[in-house]
Amino acid sequence: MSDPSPWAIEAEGLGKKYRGGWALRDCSFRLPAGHICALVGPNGAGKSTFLGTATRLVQPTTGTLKLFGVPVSDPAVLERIAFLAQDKPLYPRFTVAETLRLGRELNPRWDQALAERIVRSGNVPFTARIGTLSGGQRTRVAFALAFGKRPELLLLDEPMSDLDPLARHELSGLLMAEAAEHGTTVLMSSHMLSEMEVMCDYLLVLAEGRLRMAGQTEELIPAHLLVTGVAEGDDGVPEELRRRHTVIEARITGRQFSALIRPGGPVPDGWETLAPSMEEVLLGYLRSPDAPGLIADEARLDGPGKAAA
Amino acid sequence: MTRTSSAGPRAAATAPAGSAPDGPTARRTLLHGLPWLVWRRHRTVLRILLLTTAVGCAAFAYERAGLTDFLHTHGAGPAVHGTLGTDFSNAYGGLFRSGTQLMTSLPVLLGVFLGAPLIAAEQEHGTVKLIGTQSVSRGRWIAATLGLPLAVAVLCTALLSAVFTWLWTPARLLVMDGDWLTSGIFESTGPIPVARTLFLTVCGIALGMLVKRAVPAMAGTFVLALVTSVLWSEQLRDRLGSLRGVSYPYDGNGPDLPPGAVRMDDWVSTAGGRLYGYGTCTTGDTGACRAKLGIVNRVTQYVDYGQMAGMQWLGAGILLALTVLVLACVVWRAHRRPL
Amino acid sequence: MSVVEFRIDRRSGVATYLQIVQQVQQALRLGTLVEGDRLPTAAQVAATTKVNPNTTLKAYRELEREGLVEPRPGLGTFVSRTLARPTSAADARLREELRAWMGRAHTEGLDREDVRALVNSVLQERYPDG
Repeated sequence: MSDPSPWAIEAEGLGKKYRGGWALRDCSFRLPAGHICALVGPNGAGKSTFLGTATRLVQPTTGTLKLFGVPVSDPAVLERIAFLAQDKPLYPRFTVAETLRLGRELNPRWDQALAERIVRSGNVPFTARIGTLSGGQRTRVAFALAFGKRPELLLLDEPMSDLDPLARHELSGLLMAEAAEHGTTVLMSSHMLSEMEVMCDYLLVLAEGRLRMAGQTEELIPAHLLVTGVAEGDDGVPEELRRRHTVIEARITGRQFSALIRPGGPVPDGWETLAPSMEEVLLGYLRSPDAPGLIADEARLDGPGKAAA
Repeated sequence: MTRTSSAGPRAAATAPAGSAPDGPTARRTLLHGLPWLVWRRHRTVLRILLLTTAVGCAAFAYERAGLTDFLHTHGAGPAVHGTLGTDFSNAYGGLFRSGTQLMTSLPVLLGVFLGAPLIAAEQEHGTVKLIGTQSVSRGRWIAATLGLPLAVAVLCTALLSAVFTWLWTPARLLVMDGDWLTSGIFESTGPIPVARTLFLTVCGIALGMLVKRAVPAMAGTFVLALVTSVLWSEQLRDRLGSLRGVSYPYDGNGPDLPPGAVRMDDWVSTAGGRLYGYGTCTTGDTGACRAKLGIVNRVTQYVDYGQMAGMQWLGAGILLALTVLVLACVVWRAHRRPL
Repeated sequence: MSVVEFRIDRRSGVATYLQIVQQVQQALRLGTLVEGDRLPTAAQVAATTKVNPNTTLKAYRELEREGLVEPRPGLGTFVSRTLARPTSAADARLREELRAWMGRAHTEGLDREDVRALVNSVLQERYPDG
């Protein structure tokens, strides 16, 4: 890598239109290299479409997408990324050894020792056919294939969704350890918000095909407050709250209101405030697709340049 | 955002040597990269094809030795009538029947079992996503995926066809009573098996790509093979060569066809050459009827053996042109955007 | 093998990196971590707890700022100072007085939670947060 770009992903006006309408629209952000990023959103929000455009499996209708400074239209990006599709497609008649050989034959940066270590640590026999493996073993082989490629960016589409709790624990540990070991940038879509909170330090939130939130977790989450107080006004939410702060979501229970806000200044003493967890913030945004989005400066294309690490 | 990466030494320390007891042993093989993958995916079909070719060629070659002896002792042409036709049929009829069966059904089998699932199975199992994200471009992938199976199929059918043609040629006047056009010999020799294989395999590939399901694509390819073979034999084949005619007096002896000619049609005609159907004036007062129409000759139309090669190459050319058209669509579709 | 294993409580509301900082400090106080011990690498922490490696590194930077650990390039992060104090005569005397105090509380009829609340409130008074 002669000139490593500090941005693992740069999307500009990215959109994809299917016959049924826009699956992804006007998506602009950038992801600095080295992060483990969660891609969050309800089903049909455009997560898989976005991952498809980043892996050359979906042709974007509008906009551009660059990975490490290389446009995805250039097949050269394929060497630098690895993708784990949701159903982890592998050839069912291949043995585990043959599946690893596939990786070796088709990838110039292939690390056979690493791939074998991942397979061996799960006690998956090399001679077994893929079709006979359990879901966890199969996912492990798919992981070995992905990490053996030595990607700089690993994209995963709900990698743990079809696994039992034990396999899920084991494989997410494997994912985190390998990513940490090799400094791989990871982008994974998931519905397991509470787990994402520990694993990820960067967030991309999609809803209805649009980007709602992007940035570092430690910047985005503390920018929010949970406020509860006495309901007043027409719809129960105090006028002052709407005027001074950005209300993401508000609920009225009896004479009490509770709201998730982005404070625009100090919050009056009469209201009780609480710092929300990442899960609470995400749920708030997912429930209110019309609320104003939040893109951190760092994640903006015109944001400040990368500070020296 | 930098992380301490101790990948190098750690990986080396924890990685067992390549000779680990349960590790995948790297066997030395001829094929590497994409061709290896394509071979591995289709190795069952391709091995059966290669085996069939080897056995077929060996059997044809072996039979040819006996056939040469037979022709040497009994003569090769139907000019010597009597029991030669029956003797030949008893001795070698079965061989040529099964030979033509093999040669005519092989392209269909290849279309169904090699062509149809070639890309459809990848789409059905989602493995296009797996291959699409390895470090190979779509162009290289489609080239290898189409190139290797088609090359093996062409090689095998070309070999089989060459050996079968070599077996048939000396006995051509005896095999199927000398009918080389409608008996299946036409489709089993020369360039036709290769052209049919390419055409049906490529059609199978294209159909599979559209249907995206292996089994329906296989069924569709089979139906397509039936339809095209009916169209071929009913509409196209006889038009590949122009018919030649020989006329002889209505009550005279004839027709006197050159050896190896295939009789296609019979007519009655006037002295001026105007043709009437063979059944004209065969009832009632036939003499008066003929006199009224001026029918004096009988005409037999035939295709000559000398036309056979030209007809085969023309037919093969038509099939190959269609093949190129369909193949171009497949390549364009696969190359332009993701499957 | 690493000397400590972190336990992350996702529901505690305490930031993950702070949990790691507190657990290292606790281990230093208890003496389970002593000077010269190597802390687990970010990858090892990630493997066992799924904690983001950047979070672990942030915690280690915080510990380094407090002067408790020091990174040695290429080798890892090592404990540079211990927090465990040798038990002194004063400790024993204080403990004895606390024991006597709790005995009185018991005879006054205070239950476990009452005592805890009392201790916490005085603790907060004498050693305020932050």
